[in-house]
Amino acid sequence: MVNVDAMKKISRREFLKRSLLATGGLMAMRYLSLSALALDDKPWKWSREAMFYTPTPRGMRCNLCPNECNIRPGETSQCRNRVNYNGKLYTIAFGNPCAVHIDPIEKKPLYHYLPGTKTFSIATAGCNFGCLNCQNWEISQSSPKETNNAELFPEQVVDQAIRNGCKTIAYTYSEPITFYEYMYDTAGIAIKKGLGNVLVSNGYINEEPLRTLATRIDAANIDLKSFSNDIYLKLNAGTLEPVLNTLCILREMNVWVEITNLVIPTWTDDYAMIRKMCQWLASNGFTEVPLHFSRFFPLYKLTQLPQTPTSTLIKAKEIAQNCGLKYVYIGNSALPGAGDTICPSCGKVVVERRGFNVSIVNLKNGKCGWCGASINGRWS
Amino acid sequence: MNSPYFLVPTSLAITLYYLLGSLLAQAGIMSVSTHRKFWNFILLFVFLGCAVLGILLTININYKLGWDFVKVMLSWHVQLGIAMSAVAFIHTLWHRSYFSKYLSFKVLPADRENIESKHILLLLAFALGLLSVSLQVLLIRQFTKVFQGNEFLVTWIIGIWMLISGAGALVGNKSSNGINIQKVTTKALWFMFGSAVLFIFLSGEIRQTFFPSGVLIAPYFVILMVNLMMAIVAFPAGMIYALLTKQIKSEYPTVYAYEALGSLTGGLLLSLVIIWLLNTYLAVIAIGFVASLVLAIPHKRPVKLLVPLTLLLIGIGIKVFNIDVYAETIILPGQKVLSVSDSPYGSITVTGSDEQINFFGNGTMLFGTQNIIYCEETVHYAMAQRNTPQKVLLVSGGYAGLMDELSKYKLLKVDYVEPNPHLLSESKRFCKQSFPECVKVIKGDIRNFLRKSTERYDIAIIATPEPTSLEQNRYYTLDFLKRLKKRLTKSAVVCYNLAVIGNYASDPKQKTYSSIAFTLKRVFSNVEVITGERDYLLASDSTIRIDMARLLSERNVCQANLYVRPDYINDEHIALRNQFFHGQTESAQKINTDNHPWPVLQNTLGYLSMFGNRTWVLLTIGFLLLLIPLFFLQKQLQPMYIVGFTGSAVQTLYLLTLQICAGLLYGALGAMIALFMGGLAAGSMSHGKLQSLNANRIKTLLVATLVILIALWLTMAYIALWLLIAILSIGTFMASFAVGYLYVNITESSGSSGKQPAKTYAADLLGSAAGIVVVTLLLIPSIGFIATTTVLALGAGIYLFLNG
Repeated sequence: MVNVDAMKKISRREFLKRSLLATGGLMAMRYLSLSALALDDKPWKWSREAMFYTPTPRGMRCNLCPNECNIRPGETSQCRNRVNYNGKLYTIAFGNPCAVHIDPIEKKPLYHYLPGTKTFSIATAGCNFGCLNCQNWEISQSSPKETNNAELFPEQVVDQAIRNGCKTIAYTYSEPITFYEYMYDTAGIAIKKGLGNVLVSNGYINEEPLRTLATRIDAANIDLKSFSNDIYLKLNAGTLEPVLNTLCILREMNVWVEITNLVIPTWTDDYAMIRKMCQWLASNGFTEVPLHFSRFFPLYKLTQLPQTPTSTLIKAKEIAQNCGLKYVYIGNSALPGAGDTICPSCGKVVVERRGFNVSIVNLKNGKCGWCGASINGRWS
Repeated sequence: MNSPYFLVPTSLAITLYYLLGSLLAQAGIMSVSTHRKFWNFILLFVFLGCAVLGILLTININYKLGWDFVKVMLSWHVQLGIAMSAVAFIHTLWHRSYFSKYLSFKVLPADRENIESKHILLLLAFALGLLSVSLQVLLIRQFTKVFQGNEFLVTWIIGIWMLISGAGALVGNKSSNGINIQKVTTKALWFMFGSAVLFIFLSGEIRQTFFPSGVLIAPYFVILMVNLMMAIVAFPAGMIYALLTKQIKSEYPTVYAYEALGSLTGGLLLSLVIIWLLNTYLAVIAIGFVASLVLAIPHKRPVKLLVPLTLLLIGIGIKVFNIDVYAETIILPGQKVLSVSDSPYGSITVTGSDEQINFFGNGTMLFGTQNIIYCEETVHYAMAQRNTPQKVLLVSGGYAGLMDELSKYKLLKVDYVEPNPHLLSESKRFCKQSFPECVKVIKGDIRNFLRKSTERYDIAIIATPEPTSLEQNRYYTLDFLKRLKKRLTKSAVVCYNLAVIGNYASDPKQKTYSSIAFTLKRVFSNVEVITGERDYLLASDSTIRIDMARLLSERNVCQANLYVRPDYINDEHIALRNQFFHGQTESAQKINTDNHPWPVLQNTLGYLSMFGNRTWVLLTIGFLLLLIPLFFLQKQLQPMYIVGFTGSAVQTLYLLTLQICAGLLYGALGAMIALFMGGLAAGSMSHGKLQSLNANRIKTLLVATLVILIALWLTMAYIALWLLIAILSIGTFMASFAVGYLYVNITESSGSSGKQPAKTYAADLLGSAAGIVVVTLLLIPSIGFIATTTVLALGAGIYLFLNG
């Protein structure tokens, strides 16, 4: 006589056993597919040996940014762009941009650098931050192996930029620090061909690679996301100090710098913090550096917040100007005159901006046409 | 983690889980000594942990040891202290008689009217139905708002509720005989209610404890947290049913019927009355008030009114002291909450940030005022396409500022259709705009409006949210566009706006946008996009220009604009982005139809990809949901699982069909619930009473409802609206009648044990859970309505008839 209960018990156990085996098999397949590397001396075609790393007993330590990932064989870095392969650290973001566009330079935003020109903008996937409000999250929070990429090696980037009448190449959208080697090589070729190089970055980079890179960068827009380490950690998964160091080093190395601060309700709209930030900028020699306050719109994972009220942006601008910052702009809003360059000396408009349209009203050789005061910038 | 210490979640979790365990002990499912042993161990663990850490902290301070990990130790010391306090409080209550002896505490005599008559137990079944449906709806509304639930999460939450209720029914079966069913059941009902009230008021605090402000939470965390909270309310619901059916063994169909009638009453009361007048916070008190009146019926003493009166006072107190507004402020910190209101269309919260008014719908930002760029672009990019547009159709967004922009034109007529009357009334209240005389505001569904309208518009601006749900997608489908085109002039322009495709289009985004673009191209000869703050899709049979700066100059319009002006717009940039958009959307994609809402699946996949999930997760979970319960159920109960699966699938399909075709979901939801519950009750009561009915005929009836739906989808375009609604209503009733009848039929054929009704009920709920999740999340988005219905009809038919 069949013991039905016993059969049931066996059936369940057998089922669970088989389910676990099947699930384990599926997960193993997935793991292998994600970490599959070509059996070659390089991980894949779009890779190059990384420039800044140290072999350690715990794996390859990447020295590019303060994350300083320890990457074991077969693993990737936090930014998803570095792999430990055959005893070396490689970048897998080289020659494979996923975003290629021609943008007005004002879009970066860079207002005092070659106004009215076009910039050839490229980005690969990857980022060393994890900002909750990232507008490019589909590429910044992905690996180059997960995105649909073009093939554009450094020489081709420069060729394309020239062909399209661009004066500069911008390394932007995601986080160019994570495709450092690609940016570095491209920038080198660009300089030889008479093009400028623009870095649009979160500024989260170690000093040595920054100083090396800065020799090839002409202008940079650095996102100073807040002035609180706690907010940097919770909002962006980073820290404040390295970004401040980046600003100082870039200025020291004569790279044209502009700063962007995104004002997010309940996160970075605290006036006391904005004042503290502006006071730091003023006391560290950034009074002549353009500061852009940008309006927040709900995006990515920050969708339960409203957009920034315009009054908050206006107040932020007032605070910055009261702290002594001379060139303060408001972005992503239709406020009249928010993008105009005002002479800090006589208060008259020298450059008018409407969206991405620029009109030089009265600026001559970098000086105010009304009163002759010098207007800081790289105007040509 | 947002707050350093988990005061509210820890205290709440310990208290509620203790009470749940206490209920299980009283129901004889676990022994009192086991229950107490468990909590004694918990107390020991948290006490020792807290004490040891306290000693170590003291040593560190006294001897200035300067340990690195002091902060961690302190954090754990406090967390364990919170837990210890909660458990100690419970222990104090256990030993209250010891203390009352010393405090000369007089305990009030227990109510001696514990008459376990059949009528009282049926009343309890009715109260169970009333509470469980109402609390489920209110909890889902609240969780959707707090955790920014979307269709994906809401479906899961409903499925989880059914799963947990089914588990509760199975566990309830293990109760011992001889317990006071009335007392235990009444306590369990109040426990359910009390827990639901606590969760509704404290859900914001719980959310803020664990997650940063304003952040979209990963779906697995949401499902886990909701699981833990729902378990406390849904589990007793199933357990109570099992206790009642065990007690009235032979009349369990009556219990089932009364429970269904209670659900019908609760559903109707909530959807048609309460939710129109009160927000969620007050609605839950109102439901408790109604339930307390029902439970007071058997009692003769005046004290029976004590509970209803207390609840009434609590409700008044909440309103007077604005506790509901305060609870809402916790969900939206840093914003000034101006209003919290609910309606069958969802929850609307209005906040103010300086001069800006923000509207949140179910926790997600709908729109804010002062967004000049968006308003100007949405209106003027379309209006400038034609020389002198006279008649404009605006769908949604009037109070966001779009009407202000339309007012800049000399128009003959503007028909402003707002599908959400609740949003309209809140917008009117807070935005304080006056519309020109040529504007006619129409409340209601746009499809119904187009069906009745005889106007022909020059411009149609569709400013509805993006197609992330079945409800929203209906404004983007081929069927809608064809209907819309009939109300347009030959050279009319239609304008949609979507989030910018950006610098890179991921696979889901690329497929969504391609599908929308392709669908537009099916109806209109020309489709273009202008990229600004959003991507503005313009479609027309006549020319569309994208050189906006030049166009605006030629037309000499928009002088009064701040942003959409020739000196602001960069035509070269627009042309480049236009080229990029077309490049990304040129590959052939599925056309978006009512039957197959392709963008909804892509948006769900895009949403999941934010959190690193992939498609296989959806498929695996659906597969597991289907298979696992089937392996654990008795063979005799597997047909009930399939019946439950089919019944809930039918109800879901009918509701969504009604939503897509007639847009009456919210308004008709109460009526549809009533029909379904009424059908369950009628079906269960008619078993054995009508000789013309037998199991095979009823199975045929169930499958027939699916066949009717297929026929309806194929002939929908030719059927009058009233007939459509009538067929859907009858079909809903037929399906639920079949489920109710088969429930009794399968229970009787499975055995005569008093535990059988609860087991069958559990199988029904487990099947229903699988049905709703698999149909809504997997089948409809993947293969469309007609294919889903066909697969179900074939599958269910073959299984039910082959299994006899």
